[in-house]
Amino acid sequence: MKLPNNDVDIHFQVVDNYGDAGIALRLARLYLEYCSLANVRLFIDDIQLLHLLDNSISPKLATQTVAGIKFIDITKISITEVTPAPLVIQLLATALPLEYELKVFEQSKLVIVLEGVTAEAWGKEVHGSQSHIEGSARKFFYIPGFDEHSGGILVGNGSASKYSKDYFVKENAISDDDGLIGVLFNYGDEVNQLVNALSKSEKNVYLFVCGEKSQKVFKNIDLVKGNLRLIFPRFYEQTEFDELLRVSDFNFIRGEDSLMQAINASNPFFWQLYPQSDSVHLLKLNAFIEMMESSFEDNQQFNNFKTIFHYYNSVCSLKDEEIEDIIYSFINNLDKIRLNFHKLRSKIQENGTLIERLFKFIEQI
Amino acid sequence: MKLAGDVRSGNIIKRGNDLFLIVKCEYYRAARQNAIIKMKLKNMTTNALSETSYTITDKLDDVRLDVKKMQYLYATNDSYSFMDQETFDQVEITKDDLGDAIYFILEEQVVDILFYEGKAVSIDLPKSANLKITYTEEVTRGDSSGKVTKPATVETGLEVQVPYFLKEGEIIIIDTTTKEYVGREQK
Repeated sequence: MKLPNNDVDIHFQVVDNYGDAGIALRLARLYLEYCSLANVRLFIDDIQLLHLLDNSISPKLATQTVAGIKFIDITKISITEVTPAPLVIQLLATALPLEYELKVFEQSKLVIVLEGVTAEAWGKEVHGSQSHIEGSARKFFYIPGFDEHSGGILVGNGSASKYSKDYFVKENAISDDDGLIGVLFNYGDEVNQLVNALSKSEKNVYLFVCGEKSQKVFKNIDLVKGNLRLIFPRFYEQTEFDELLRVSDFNFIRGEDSLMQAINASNPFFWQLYPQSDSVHLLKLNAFIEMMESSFEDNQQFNNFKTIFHYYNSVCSLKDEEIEDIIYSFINNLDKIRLNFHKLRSKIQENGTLIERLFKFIEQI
Repeated sequence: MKLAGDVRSGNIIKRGNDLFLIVKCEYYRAARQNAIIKMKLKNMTTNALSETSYTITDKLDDVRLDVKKMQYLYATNDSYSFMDQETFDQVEITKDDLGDAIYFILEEQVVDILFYEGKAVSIDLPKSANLKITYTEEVTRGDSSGKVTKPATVETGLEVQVPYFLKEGEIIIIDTTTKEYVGREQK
């Protein structure tokens, strides 16, 4: 399919918090990076969240252009008056207002429903399938994922790396050059046992507790315990947080956007999913773990990861000594374990990034 | 207008000027409590089969057809027979046209049969069906390896994921749209 130009409208409705808004911002940035001459418009219903992720985006303006992207607060405009771009992306299946949807179906060329990333078999089944619509446009489902049968993953933020480990170390008054840096973004109670286990590490560990909600979980925990020091940094913008994941030694992350960036950082990570009703998220978790397995050389290391992934998502509980053994082994074998994550990244990215694959997909339909 | 999330196998939808029988619905849970439905459709004029996908919030033109209550009598290899309980007239619907609806009907059950231009074309299924588990593995506590469900086969041959503690012989409620376990029948 050939579009008249590469202009795109990305529509996004915030449901949860800045994790999902982060995907919207990232998609817009990466799209523009790939098609520098395109008009990229991001329609969003909570622009305040974008302001948190990038201070140069005003939380007050109805429309504004920042770094080449036009941000539109859909609550402050009359959407039905907007002429749609040839390509319209309904991010995370964001529904369009009915009257506007009819206009899009008549005036756009292509509508892509871009869903959340998953390793589940259904993702491959639905990826690329067409949806019938009344109008001249065509509509397809695009499902990000981890192999050649899916849509790939969104990695990067359209900016070159500009922060080193030093940047984060100095800003947070860490004077130890040899200590390990970890990132933790977590809303649950699992942190108590994890913190205890990390405190018994033979190396100094500096754990960056990121996000307001995560920091609240830690409010009654000692900042220094054994060889562990908890760091409560300021809120990092998207580009900074991506860099922190990249320069750290290991990451405890939450949500899909951070998962994709942690894979790209290729440092060992543990992933916590947003819970869904009927524990549907655990199907996604198990599919992801299964997908990871082939990147691990050592079965014991893989089983340790699987155990912590389950523990971190409240699938199982562990005794203190069990978690301490796994974390002890993890810290002492970090360099070897990192090789598995390099392999994981290479495997996932060998078919290209989501944006590259999206353009190939459009060419082929 | 009907939401795509509310239609099920056996329903008829209108696209353009054509009517389509929904032969099969595969229901997939996606991110943020959303779901995607992949449907197999049969064009009621040309009999051509096609596939399409929708999110549960997509709006579809559903079509009201004539409905008659009939009793399901028996099945042969290719078709299913139903009887009008007042006139004793019998009609047949092909297995292909019934699609996944065959997983929700039992012999002697009274069901709503849909008629298009005087011909029986499908069943209007209720939102849920109560069916007995005929096979499932026993899973002991602590043996779930991170899995929260297990497969179970019900009396119509449908396989569904159920909580690991359910046993053979129990009657479960299944959503006829999603083909997912909803709960246990109250004793």
